[in-house]
Amino acid sequence: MITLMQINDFSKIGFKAGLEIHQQLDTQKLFCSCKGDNEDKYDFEIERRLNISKSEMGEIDPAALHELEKSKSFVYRGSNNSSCLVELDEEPPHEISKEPLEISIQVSHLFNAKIVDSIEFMRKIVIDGSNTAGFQRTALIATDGFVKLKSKKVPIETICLEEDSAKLIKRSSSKDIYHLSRLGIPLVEITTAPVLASPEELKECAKEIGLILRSVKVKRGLGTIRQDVNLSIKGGARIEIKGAQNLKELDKLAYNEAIRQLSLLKVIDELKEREKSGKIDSNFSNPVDVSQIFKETKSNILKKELEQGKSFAVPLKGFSGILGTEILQGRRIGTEISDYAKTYSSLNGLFHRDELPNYGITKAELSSLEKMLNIKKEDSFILVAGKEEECRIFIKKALERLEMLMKKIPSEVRAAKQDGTTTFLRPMPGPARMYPETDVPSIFLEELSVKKAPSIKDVIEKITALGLPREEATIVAKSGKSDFFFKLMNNSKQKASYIYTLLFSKPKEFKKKENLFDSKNISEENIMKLISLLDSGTITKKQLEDAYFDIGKGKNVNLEELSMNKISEEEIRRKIKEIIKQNKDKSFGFLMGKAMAALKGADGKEINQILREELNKK
Amino acid sequence: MNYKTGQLVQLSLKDGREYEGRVISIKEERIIIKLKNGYNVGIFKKNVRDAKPIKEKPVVKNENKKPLLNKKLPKLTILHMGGTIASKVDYELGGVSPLFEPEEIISLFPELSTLVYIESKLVSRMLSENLRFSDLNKLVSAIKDALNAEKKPKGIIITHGTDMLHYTAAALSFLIENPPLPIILVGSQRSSDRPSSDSKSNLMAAVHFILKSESKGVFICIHESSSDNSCLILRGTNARKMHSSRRDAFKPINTEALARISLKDYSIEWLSKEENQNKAPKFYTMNPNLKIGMFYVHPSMCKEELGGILKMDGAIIIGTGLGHIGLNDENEFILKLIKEAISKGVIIAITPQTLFGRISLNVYSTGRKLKELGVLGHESNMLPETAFMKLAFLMSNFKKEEIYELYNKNLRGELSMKSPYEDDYIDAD
Repeated sequence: MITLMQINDFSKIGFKAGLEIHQQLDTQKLFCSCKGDNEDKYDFEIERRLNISKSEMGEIDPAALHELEKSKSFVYRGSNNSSCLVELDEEPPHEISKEPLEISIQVSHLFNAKIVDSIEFMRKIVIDGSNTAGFQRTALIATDGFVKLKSKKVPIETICLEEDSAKLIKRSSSKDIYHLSRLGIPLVEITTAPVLASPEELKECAKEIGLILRSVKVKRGLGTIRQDVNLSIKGGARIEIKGAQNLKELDKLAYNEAIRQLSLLKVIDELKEREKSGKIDSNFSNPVDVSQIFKETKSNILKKELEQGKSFAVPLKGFSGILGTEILQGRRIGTEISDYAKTYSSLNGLFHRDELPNYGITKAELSSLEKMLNIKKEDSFILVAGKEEECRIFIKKALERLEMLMKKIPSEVRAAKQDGTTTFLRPMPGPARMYPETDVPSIFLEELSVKKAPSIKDVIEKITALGLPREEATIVAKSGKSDFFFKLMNNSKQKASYIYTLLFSKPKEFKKKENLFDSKNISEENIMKLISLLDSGTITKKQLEDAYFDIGKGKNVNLEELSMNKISEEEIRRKIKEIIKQNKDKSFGFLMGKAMAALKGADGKEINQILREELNKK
Repeated sequence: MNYKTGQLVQLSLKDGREYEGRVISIKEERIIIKLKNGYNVGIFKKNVRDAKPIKEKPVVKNENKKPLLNKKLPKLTILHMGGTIASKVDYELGGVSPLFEPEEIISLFPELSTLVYIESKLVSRMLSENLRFSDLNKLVSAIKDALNAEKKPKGIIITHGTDMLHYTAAALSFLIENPPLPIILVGSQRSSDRPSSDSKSNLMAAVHFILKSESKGVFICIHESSSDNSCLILRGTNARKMHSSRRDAFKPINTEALARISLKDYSIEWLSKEENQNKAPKFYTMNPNLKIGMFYVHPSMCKEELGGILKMDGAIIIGTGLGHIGLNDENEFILKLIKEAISKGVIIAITPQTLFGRISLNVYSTGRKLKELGVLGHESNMLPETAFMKLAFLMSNFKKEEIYELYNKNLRGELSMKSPYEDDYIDAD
């Protein structure tokens, strides 16, 4: 049996990876004036179909193509805030938005890349419905750049500027629903050479690119940066992993993929060995209807499927132990096969001999099945249940995958899952099909004068020089608030550490204390004013923070009044207590007069109230 | 090095960039090459340090097997008048080439192979906005040929750019009296190279309409909405391009659409009465030398602008409201111009800028003056474009007295004397 392996030295297994990073820019859309807001609500809905000609489909079964063409439709939802006729493919692209174009050039500078003489937008055919036009607008901006890591210089092969696709809301066999809010948001795509030699290096590179991208106006938050990983190991296959949103998991993802490939290589060896010695027969027999055996089954899964459908099994001669082989924590060859077949059929999965009896399937049912299929000790089988047609498609595809695994690891596109593993998404696409976007004129670099954006690394240095530790300086720089930070530093007597506390630590602390608190409620003007009041000694830090907290909670605080109210509540109370103590049994009016005299500058109403409170305490 | 389009080259640039790719186009100062990754980049020739052609093996192009045409199926004649319903994209060179041959159309739209036997003819490759009277004559003669063919078509589809499609539709309506079959103009608002093109659905809807109905006449088949759910069959005399870019650019004006074709199952839903006749068809032509002007009335209109009317054979004045031209000092002169033009033999008709509604020259004094001068169009609800083609048709084929009599008569459904009430006249389904 193959035991789950571990990798200690990635150079030994020929680990090679590259990154393709897509970063959304925080501007209006690339070819219209719509906002790039992430939205779910919608004002309208339209339904479209795409004409998919054979050349766009590559090597896909014409029958399947025909079916797809006939039945699949795409529903697009849009809001008037984030979409217009351009997203709907009902109006030509507007003049390219200047800001994202300039940012893409700044990004090229930041990655030391060489910008092309004239930028030519292309139409890249995309037929999954995620672009209303059936193509994505994309242009190559620069080539031959690099990013420096601790131990190496990683070449940046290309930097592109493109439109993001529409967001998939729901997929079904006849209809996919998309939302248009994301379509057309400018994306900068950065592609490294496949030179990253370990998962750690891969992560380091992604982190470094992500950090440098923070030098310009990029969107923040989940889904605004997406990392695709290209990965291969010696003897394995080139795999593209799509949709990794969590940078922290990137090394785990790559590690798992390397393990998956190593394990698969062992299984492939084992299968080849068995085939050589004639133990296995790769001419699979036809699926057999075994519904009869499970007529009285106690397995809930089977029972449910058999209400409407049938159960089919196919014997796998000489495959004993293969499908049960664990290739990754919790993933077996059975999972590999099932994942693949599931993308073509509506069935939820399969059973195989190595895992039975289990899932309510009894020993007796198992032996009837083995008898019916003529299964010997060295054999295995696949068992599925559902609608007959779906069962047949599933088994056909499952066997197709098994056949692939008898030869080599298939090169394919896999989707990143939350748990750091991947699942089959689609076969590796052929070369991108692109042709010129004739609605967008050539853009000449000479005619653009784009200022270099200061690198976030320089910004971090500058903040560190002001006396903030590097870690905190990095937080300031990455937040996009560094300009404001510098402005405060220039205009105030306060130390960098206090400004940092005010802008970064306090909001977190206040949020914990009061969920209503939202730092968005506090404008930069508010903060400037508060700090100037603090600088002039008009208010104390405590007063400043109280006001900060109140404004954050959405309270209307008059900062002008605050400045006049020199005496804090605490102080008033202390003074009043003192007056009460000194003037026992005096009337309220007398005490009030005393307090007013003693607390010049304080608000009479406030004194009045505190005095009453203190008197009531007695 | 002399660059040649299509050539594979290796370029070393002065700034150290190295590119390998195919030359896509050569402009005065720069070349555009397509890199291996599919992207085009522009390079100034002055920035190139060294350029070398790359030798490559000649590519053996495997000729696609031509699909067989089933002659037993109903015949469909496709006449190409510019605008393309089908095209092929060359991803190597980036060019888009239109397809005109029946086999090419079938190979792109395989569903057609079980429905119809296609015969096609390339009548013109003009851009729709370049339409001239002589092109219309070519089209009429191609239609005549199609009708005289040994195997009669079940219908004729004309592919046409959309900009002036409604002009052609109106013209054909007049030039072919009693058409014995459906003649459908099919356009598309998204070019056929895009996967999202509306050309295929518009074509398929037209084909199904031809196969499933007995309608005779000149029609337009186009999307009903932005969705790919249905197409409308519009009458050639009362439709107009009302949007510069949307798929549902064409709308019926002052009338209803004839039918709606579902794009799900291609069923026909009739929206208004179908008119059928069995009279023998009669063909007319346009006088290609005819000069007919269209004058759009606006504030501060000047005599220099309208002065051209004197050199015209005929003119359509697109008047304000019920059909007027202002009558202040300058315009008094304009009125004199019209008078002079009419006395010189220019035939002038007036249509409404409002598109919807009817002309009435009786309500205001301006109108009455125009009517007295002999301006045509009183009580007409014809669209300006239809009126233009009608006048051209009449002037090409009839005597002056006949023209004055026929212009205001309903010949092909282009005008009606009754104005039925609609809640929403713009969206009158």
